[in-house]
Amino acid sequence: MHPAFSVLFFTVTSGFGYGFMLCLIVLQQLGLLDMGREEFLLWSGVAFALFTLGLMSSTLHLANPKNAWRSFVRFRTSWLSREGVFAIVGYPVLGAYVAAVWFGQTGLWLHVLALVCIALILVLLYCTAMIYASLKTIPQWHNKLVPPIFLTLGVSSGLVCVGLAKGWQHAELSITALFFLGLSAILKLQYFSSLGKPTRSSINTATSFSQASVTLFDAGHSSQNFLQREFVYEVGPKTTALARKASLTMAFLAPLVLIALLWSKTVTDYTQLAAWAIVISLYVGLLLERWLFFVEAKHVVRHYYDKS
Amino acid sequence: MKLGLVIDLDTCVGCHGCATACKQWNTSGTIGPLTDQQPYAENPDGPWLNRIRTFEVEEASSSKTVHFPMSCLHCENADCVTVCPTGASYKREEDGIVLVDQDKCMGCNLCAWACPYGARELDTNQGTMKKCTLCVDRIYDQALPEEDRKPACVLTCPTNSRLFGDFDDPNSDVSRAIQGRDGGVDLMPELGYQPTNKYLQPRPRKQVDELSISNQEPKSGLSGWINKMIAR
Repeated sequence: MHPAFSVLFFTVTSGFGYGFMLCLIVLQQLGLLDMGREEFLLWSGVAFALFTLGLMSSTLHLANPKNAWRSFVRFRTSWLSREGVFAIVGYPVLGAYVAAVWFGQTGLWLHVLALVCIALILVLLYCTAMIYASLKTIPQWHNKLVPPIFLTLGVSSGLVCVGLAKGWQHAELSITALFFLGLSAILKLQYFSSLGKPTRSSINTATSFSQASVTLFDAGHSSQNFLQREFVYEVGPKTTALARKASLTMAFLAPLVLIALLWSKTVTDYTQLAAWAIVISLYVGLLLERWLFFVEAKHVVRHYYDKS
Repeated sequence: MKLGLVIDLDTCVGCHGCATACKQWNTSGTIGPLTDQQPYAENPDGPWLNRIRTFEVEEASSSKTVHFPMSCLHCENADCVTVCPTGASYKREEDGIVLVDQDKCMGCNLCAWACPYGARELDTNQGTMKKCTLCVDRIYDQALPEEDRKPACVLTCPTNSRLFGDFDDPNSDVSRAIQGRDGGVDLMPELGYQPTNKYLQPRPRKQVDELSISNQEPKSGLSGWINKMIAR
């Protein structure tokens, strides 16, 4: 699949924003956040900015953005529509929670609102994953590991943002971040190994000649067309292998090591620098991971061009 | 009604007449224009609603070249419709034709991603998705003589390899065509899209025994001498 940068940026950045907001709310509800109202407003603003930038970027790959407002119509069947609807619902609901904290509101209704916010963000992360996981035409996306990977990566992104905001002073935060980053890494490794399995479709099922050896003789057109640009995006196996290693190192290994070092207090200087390094390493690593997610996805239309 | 096409891979000669006729009709049809970028330059580019690929199909006893025209198969389970967020893509209740409302499409490409047959192509000039309409603006046109109320590709096919009709009607051209040919075949049935359009595989050919040719006694006389001189 052709990796459009606007879509890579959208999924990673909105994942960071929603994950950050989710962690801020959960930790505050558990009484672990230890943030003043100004500080909470500031960091909530950062989370809002991140997912808003991501959502705005997602409209950049539209060929006809003037009709983007119509995308809330097919809520009943389309995961893209659901993502749009929940994203819009998110603004007043998440905004209400931030406002309630600013105005020092307490009580049962705030806990209920927090639960609604948490559910909404988890549903949003799930919707993003299901846009890809619902496509039967792309076996590498139609994979049961895709939604849990998007969810754990969103939570991990949020936790490292909290680490940046709070300077990794609490052992609970470090342990939770190590757990979710580790879980994401395990799921991602499992995903990579699941890509090696043979898929159901082939040039034989595509052309109905099940018993024959089928090869493409002529594509019927002399230059690249839309289908080839969109679905036949070729990257060499060496580049893919290198990108896998680089993304695993930057997204998981480096943050895990740095968080462990900060937790064990072997590094006491440069804590703020390390917190920035964790966030940037994860962000760049996830952009690379998302690029790979597209590049390694093989749409079945490729069979008509004799590409497996 | 369940309107669709039957495409006979046995008789298709790969002339691309159906694709050309399709482009000609639909560039001024309900979803038009189907404009090309750099149509006369080195790399012409633009949406086609019908593409013909050619495959070499090697079987133990009968290898053959198969021309393979593909346009929208108007699936029963059309995922391109369910993934569409704007409601631009829809499947008509009355005849099963899958269409894109050009006034509603936002050009997000998701329907093209959901289609296993490459039937949808983005028109970058208009920013909307284009696909086969089964010539919906032609097959119902009362102003045309009845024999002309067929898709452009079907009317133009010089070998009658494309047939149009109602699969729900057992006496239609398409129903009768598939009856004698094992009901026709579906493409990528494992994905469960249940395409309406059916393909007819080439009929079995008379087997030619290769050994019997190569083991023939060499001819003698003048024709034997000529055979020897031109042999490679």
